[in-house]
Amino acid sequence: MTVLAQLILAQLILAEYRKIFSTKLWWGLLIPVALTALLFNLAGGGFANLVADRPGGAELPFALVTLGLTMSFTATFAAIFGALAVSSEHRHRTITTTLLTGSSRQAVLGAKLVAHGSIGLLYAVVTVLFGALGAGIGGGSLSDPGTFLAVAGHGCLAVLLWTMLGIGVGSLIGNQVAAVLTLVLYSLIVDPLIGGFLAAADIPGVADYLPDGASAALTTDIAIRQLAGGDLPAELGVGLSAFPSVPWWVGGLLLTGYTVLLVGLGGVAGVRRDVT
Amino acid sequence: MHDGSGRIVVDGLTKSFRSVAAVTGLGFTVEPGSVTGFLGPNGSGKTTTLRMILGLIRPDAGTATVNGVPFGRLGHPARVVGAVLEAQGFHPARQARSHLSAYAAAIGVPAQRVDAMLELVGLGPAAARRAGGYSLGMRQRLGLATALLGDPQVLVLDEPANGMDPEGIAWLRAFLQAFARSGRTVLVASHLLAEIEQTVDQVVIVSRGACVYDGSLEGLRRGQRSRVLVAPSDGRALVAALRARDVTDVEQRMDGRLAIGGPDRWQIAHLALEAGVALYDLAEERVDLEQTFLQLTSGQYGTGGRW
Repeated sequence: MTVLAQLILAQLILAEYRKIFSTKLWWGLLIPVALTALLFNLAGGGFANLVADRPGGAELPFALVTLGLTMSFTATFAAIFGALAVSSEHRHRTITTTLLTGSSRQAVLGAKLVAHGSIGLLYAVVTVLFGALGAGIGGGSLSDPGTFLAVAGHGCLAVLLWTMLGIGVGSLIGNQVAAVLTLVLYSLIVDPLIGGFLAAADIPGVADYLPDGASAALTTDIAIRQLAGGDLPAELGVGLSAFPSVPWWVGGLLLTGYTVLLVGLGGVAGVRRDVT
Repeated sequence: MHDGSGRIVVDGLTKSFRSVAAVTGLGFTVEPGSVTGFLGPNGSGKTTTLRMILGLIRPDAGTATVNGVPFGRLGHPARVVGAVLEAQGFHPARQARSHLSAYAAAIGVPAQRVDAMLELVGLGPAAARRAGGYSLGMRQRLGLATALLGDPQVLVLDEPANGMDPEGIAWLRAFLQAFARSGRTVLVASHLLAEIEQTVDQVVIVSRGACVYDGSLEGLRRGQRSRVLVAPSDGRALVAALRARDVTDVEQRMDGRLAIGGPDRWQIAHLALEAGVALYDLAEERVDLEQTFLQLTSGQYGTGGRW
């Protein structure tokens, strides 16, 4: 990339930040993210405390698992935030001005990936901070710093990827309502349905390779291993089978693949779309 | 890179939406230093053409260039072209100043430019208000302020007077003329000739997606055939006498008068005298530019049939 192209991209990224921070959306979505992280991990920490208080109970890192699960919740909000990056510009017809002031449509999309992606990352960091706070208040252990940082880091990567995936979906679909509905309905209905059908057709485990499964593997693998490696009561061990069986790095690679695919499709659709 | 000429060249531009042809083989050139009106009825393909010039719509065929290159290759497009289009919006919750600040960043101009443009279009006192609460006229002004942020060489406007009060329209007229006088290019689309007649020097008239006139406004006035209106005592006898002199451009008007093209008033008076027809009225038809426009864009003129 030439110096001029870099300068133009930096200008477009600054423009995207100014757009983001001049409306309420970014902090409107951050509030439920922070609250959920706090309350969910408070429960996780409290549960760990209860188990540890039982006769013969051990100190188990339940809060590590709830932190991983909270990241999936945060990822949904980050994906919606991402989906609105392009689609809300179509909704409010600011896309015309954005394209008239951008050097190219690709550059505009690139600037949105950087600016909105970093806000997604902010959501993830807030999740880690409020999650740790909640777990601490609940009195649960977050394991050793290395494992905690691994879970936090994987969660941040998942949230970042989902934000970018959302940007791709928003650019691909264009319509604001349709883009958000697609993301939410896919995670709530389509993904579980496909997984269920495949399992019923005796092709189990495929659900782990769909976006939601891959994401769950990335965010919870380390925490589940840590938990399973501990002195887990037998009645709790059964529940672990509900978690993805693929390693975190496979989940991470798959989710990266899905993100690249959707950002690519969104980029092509965005370049070809007639803005009327 | 572009040639810096400020010239807009449209050549063979064609675009269909589904099966509906919006623009067919349209070609014209817009030169710097003057205000060019882009006229045509609603649905004649003006907005589609402007959006193709601005790289927002991909043409099926043909090219549109600004400064010799397609819009997408200008590099810093907002420093070359500023545009105020109809379907251009603002985030309703975003303050006008924030809106301009975001695009000032994209263009790479300093923050002072934002306040200068707000003052220029008269939105200084309303700068901290949300764009959602703006009236249509204020939105047009904010659109113009946005278009001018990059100090462009070319200005493209689509129906800019929509929603503006008379004072605003007068201001806009003076502004566009001064802008063009400084050697820059202005292209203004409108469906009303009267609205831009006092502003433009050149006109491009489109009808059903094709160019029907491209030239000066003066040329349009002169090009109109002048006719003579007469009220004869015996229309048939006069027409027969005219036919004998190979004058066939005769139209019966609603008011009973005949509109005759070709001979001047004196020749017609002589002819009528020779034919023994009395003339109760004899006058030059006043050339109405609006009617010329209607004639060009619809192909039908007047309500009476031809003899």
